[in-house]
Amino acid sequence: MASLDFTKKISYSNRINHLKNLILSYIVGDESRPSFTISQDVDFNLVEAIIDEDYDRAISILETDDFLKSCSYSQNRLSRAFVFGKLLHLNNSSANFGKLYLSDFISVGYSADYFNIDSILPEGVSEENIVRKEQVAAELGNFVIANYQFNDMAITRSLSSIHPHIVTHTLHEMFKALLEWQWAYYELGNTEEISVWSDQALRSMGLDVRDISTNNVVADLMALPNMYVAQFLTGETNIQMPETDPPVPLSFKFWAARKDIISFYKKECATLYTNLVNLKQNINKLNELE
Amino acid sequence: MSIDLKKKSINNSIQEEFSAMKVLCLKNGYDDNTIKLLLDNQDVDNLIAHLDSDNCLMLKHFPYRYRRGITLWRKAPSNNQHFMHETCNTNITYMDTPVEDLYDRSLYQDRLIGSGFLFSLSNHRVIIEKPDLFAITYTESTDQNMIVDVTSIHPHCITHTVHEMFKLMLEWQWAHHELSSEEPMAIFCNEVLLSIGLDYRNEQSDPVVKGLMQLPEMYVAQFLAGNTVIKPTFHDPEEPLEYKLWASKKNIYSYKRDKYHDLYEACIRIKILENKLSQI
Repeated sequence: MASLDFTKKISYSNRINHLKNLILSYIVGDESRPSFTISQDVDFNLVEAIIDEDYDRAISILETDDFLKSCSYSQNRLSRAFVFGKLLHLNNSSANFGKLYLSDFISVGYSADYFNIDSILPEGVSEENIVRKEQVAAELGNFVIANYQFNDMAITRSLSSIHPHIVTHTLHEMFKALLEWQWAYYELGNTEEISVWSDQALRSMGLDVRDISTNNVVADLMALPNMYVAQFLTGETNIQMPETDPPVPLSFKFWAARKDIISFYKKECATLYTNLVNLKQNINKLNELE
Repeated sequence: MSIDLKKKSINNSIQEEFSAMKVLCLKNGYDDNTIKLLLDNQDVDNLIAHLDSDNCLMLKHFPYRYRRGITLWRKAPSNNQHFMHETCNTNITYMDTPVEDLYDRSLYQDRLIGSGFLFSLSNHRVIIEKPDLFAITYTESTDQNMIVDVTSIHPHCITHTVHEMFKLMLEWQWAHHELSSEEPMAIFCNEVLLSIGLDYRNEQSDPVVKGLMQLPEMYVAQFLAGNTVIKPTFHDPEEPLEYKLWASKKNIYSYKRDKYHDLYEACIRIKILENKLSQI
């Protein structure tokens, strides 16, 4: 066991050094790949963080709107809503589906008798009045996770309290919620629409709750605080959500960046980001051994 | 990590900054001295000193430390009954008021009005403000005793340099969180700092806060160390480079012509990189 740990330490150390040099080479650049320009303040902050080997800071700089093409989290947790549903194209959408419009072309849809957004909108207020920002956070096969920001936080609370509770405040909590529904599909034989959809959506992205012991992304997501299904199964009838965003697992960040769910304006930023996250994961693993 | 690779990356970054600065030079038409320092000498230290000088900088530090006052004010709804209502920074909505108002005291007001302080002012301007929260002003007095006198009044809202003011506010913010201080000044400083993106709790990850926290102890830290009488610092402490860059971005250093802003910040970035290189 001691010798295995020693081998692991050497392996992690080598990987860490390799990744550090790789990351630093982004600043140097070469003939085939230009280095980062630092004519802008934001690039300089990133460069400085890398030179200082402050990788947490470098990662958080890349996760800002200056670099991030995908949605970054607004400060107010309660005004954020990540909504899961079927991806519908409006030109052939069924009248049976309640819709949250994403653009002129697509919307997130649900069976109207299963989940009807109109039933929770305040009287006299239309959807256009309350939705401040609409963006696709992730496409999962025929399904979509949409990111909304509502001016009225009560709307988010209302949406998330209605069965099947497919509204969360962060993307990683959404994946946790979907994994719980997938678990219910396999372990309890649950055949509700949301269970079936969760299973199809997650498997289209290579995620399966049954792989919890072999897939570290699944394992780390399942370690997040209990979402709706898990709370219900433990006897909780009054859903309790954390008041602050749970930390995003590094494995999820790495996976999401590789799947282009976390995406960047500059292509080299995506590579730099995954290398930084990978580096942090290896540093954490080495620290666990020491 | 390879030391050579790190050095190479820093040198590369420095050269890219100089290249970008030359482009700025061609685009903006700087004065002859600036051009000479940049293109002929690539002398960053003298370029920074030149840009800090009267040629380019509207806000120049008055050489006499004790005749300078950097004051923190609290914005309050305009009230024509208040002694501050007639001051230059009052508008129809808000006016600057002493933080002391939150303590229901008037020592500061009495000193300002009663001592002839206002008549001793030779220069006064707003450095940074948020219209509904705070203002920090720069004041010069013909009489150093006036400034030193008001500095001694609790909660000590006056310093002699801008960076010392931010250090003082960080100390008050620290007291608010670490010692649960509910003093109005502690609560107010916390609000002000958070509104401009500064938080002592980020000392390890925010180079600006890190640099400011390394400045000499201000009033709160001195008091906690057992000093009931404030120990004066006789010289202006050096401005941390990261703070200088941040302050420039916040327009604390106003330029006569905006084109110098980008150049100034590029110079600071080069200095920061050169310092990192020298530490390797």
